[in-house]
Amino acid sequence: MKKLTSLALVLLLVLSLVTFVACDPADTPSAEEPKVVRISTTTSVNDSGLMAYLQPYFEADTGYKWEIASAGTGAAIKSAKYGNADVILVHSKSQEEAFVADGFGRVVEGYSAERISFMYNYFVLVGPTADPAGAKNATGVKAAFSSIASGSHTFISRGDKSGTHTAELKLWDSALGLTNDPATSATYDWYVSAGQGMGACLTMANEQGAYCLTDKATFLSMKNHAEGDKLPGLSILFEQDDAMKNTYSMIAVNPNAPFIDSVTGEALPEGTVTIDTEAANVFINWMTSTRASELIAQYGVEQYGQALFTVM
Amino acid sequence: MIEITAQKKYGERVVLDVEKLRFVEGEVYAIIGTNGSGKSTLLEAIAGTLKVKGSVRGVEGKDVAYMPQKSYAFSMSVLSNVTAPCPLFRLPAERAKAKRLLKQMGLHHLARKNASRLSGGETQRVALARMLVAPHDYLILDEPSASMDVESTLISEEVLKDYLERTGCALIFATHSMAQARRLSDKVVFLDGGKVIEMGYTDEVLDNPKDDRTKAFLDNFAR
Amino acid sequence: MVIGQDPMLQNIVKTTLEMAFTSSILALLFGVLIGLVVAYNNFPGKKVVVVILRTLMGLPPVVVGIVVFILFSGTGPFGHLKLIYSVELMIVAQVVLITPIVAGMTETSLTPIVDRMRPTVKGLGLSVPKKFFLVLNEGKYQLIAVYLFAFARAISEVGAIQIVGGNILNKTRTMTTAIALNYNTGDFALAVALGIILLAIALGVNLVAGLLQMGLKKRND
Repeated sequence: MKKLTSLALVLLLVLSLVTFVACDPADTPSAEEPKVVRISTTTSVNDSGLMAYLQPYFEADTGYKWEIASAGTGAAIKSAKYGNADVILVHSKSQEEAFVADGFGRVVEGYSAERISFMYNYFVLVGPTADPAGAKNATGVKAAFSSIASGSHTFISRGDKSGTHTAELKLWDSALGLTNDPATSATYDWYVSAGQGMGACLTMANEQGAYCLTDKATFLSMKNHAEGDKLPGLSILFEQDDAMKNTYSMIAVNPNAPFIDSVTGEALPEGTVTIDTEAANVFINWMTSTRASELIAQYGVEQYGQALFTVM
Repeated sequence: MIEITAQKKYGERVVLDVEKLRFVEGEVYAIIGTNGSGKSTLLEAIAGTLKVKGSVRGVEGKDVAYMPQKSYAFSMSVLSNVTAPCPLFRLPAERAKAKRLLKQMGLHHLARKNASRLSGGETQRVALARMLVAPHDYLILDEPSASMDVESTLISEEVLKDYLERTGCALIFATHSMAQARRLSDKVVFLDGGKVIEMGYTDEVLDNPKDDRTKAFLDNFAR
Repeated sequence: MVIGQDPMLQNIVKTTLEMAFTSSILALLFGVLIGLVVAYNNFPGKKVVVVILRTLMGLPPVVVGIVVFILFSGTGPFGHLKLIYSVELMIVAQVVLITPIVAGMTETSLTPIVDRMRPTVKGLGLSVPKKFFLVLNEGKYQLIAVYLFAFARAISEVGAIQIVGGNILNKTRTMTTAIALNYNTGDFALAVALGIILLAIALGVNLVAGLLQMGLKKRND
């Protein structure tokens, strides 16, 4: 018995040592420290799969690696304000403009403004195939949304201050009193504020036979999932309305911006934050190059039979 | 009547090997022998708290109560400890009975005290009272007074005798005290190496042992 | 931030408490029962059962969340119950998660006590409910600690309840899922404030448990 105990102890020790060694990043030798560009982006950009698709081309062309931190639009922008990113890639015009107005943007040489809009797609209204609200035959997207509201048909809202959430709020009749602040927004039984990512909201809409506003890329990737249709109950009911246009922009972070201390919320003294402007320039120039434009235009054609993004 | 045929081994060592050992209802048996002679194992085998090879006949439908060498006092009042085996619906009547029993055993002053704070001897006396609050057919006690002082031992024996007389319950107990065996038992079973060496009326076995091993054991004791 | 003046916050706290108390108490009932049965009885394969219990203590919440989600979603075997995105289903997921923890901890903490009691309890020939009551009574300090751990797990859980509850405002949003959301929206201050309320609740529950333990100790003297 004593032998068994000591054997078990030795085994445990060896096991933990092996894991420790295997997990030690210093153990993997790297020939040369690669140059890195830090990108802060929103989950919806990342979830569409576009960035993963572009990454190997970017790294091969430029010799840079990219590190993408994806969170909700609010957190993505805040993270940049803490000095955690060289460049942001988001799709929420009002929040981007506020970011620039606060002095966090930088004009990259060769461009006219801090905010560089480089591609767009359309949000789509999805819902139960039977379409009890008759959204499919509405005259415009706003009419489709009012028919959902007037019929009290369940609608799943992102409710997370994301670009999609901001776009959705603009499509409702303002008399409904829906805002992006859950504490003050009007509440309705049919209006479900999910506070989750796009995929989770679409799953919820599918479960409950509800309507939902989504970016097309996420919807199509779930419809054409390798395991089969993840959203069998949902169809695209309305798309291609100008009010549903979803524009993606990049902003290079200003190295002399009034960065904020993440703990105290106060301004940091100048020079505490290092921003790699060169890396940001390389990223922005590559993303707007003919090479990248062609790649973006091709994205989704093979898999879904249609392009998911249009280059501007 | 209980008839037990049992064998128990730990590895290669035989700790109990008895055949057709009989205990009659209403009689008192003292089990004697050295440490490791198999006394506790035999008692546990009869009580059914230890699995052994063999069979125990005559326990079906009988109430067999067993008190281990190291009794456990529950973390509640001494009075509640004594009434612990009683069914809930009979509790008020049993409490009165338990109080009388505690008084008889000289434990009255401890009735409200938490039993987990008692001394070894007090714990054993409470455990004995707990055995005597309900009627049984067979009472099996493993060295019931091992932790008690002389006075407590004598008082407890009186209470025990009184209980046996009133209920007609049989008693099988292990002891290291030949004097206690004489005071309490009708018959004595001498165990050695897990086997019954000698069994008979108490005075006969203790005064005129037939087997040399019994004799040696008793001589050792007298010295 | 005052809870009393904010109906949204009130709802979040109410949902959190309802979920945490109900699930931890249910898990305590099931888990203690399982833990006691395993601790008290010696049966072939007991060691295997103990190893399984201890392995289940490490069940990853998101895995439980996904499995419960699949079972209860519209097309799943329990889809007809229409429990998806409800507090009830969050409680189900939590009970699945926490019961093995309670059972494992009960087994581990009560085994030494039960081993000391077993000969006496067996010798008295007690009924099963009586045995359970006596063992529970001996292990009450340990069980209070086990409950506190179960409650702490219940109130701090995010992964599973976010999946099966859906973090729906005024319905299934709890303090932890609200904190996760507030991180995503960049409302860090609100997230930290919610975290402080969460800690305060945990402190309150611990204080009550501490008083209970002190009371029990006093009664013992």
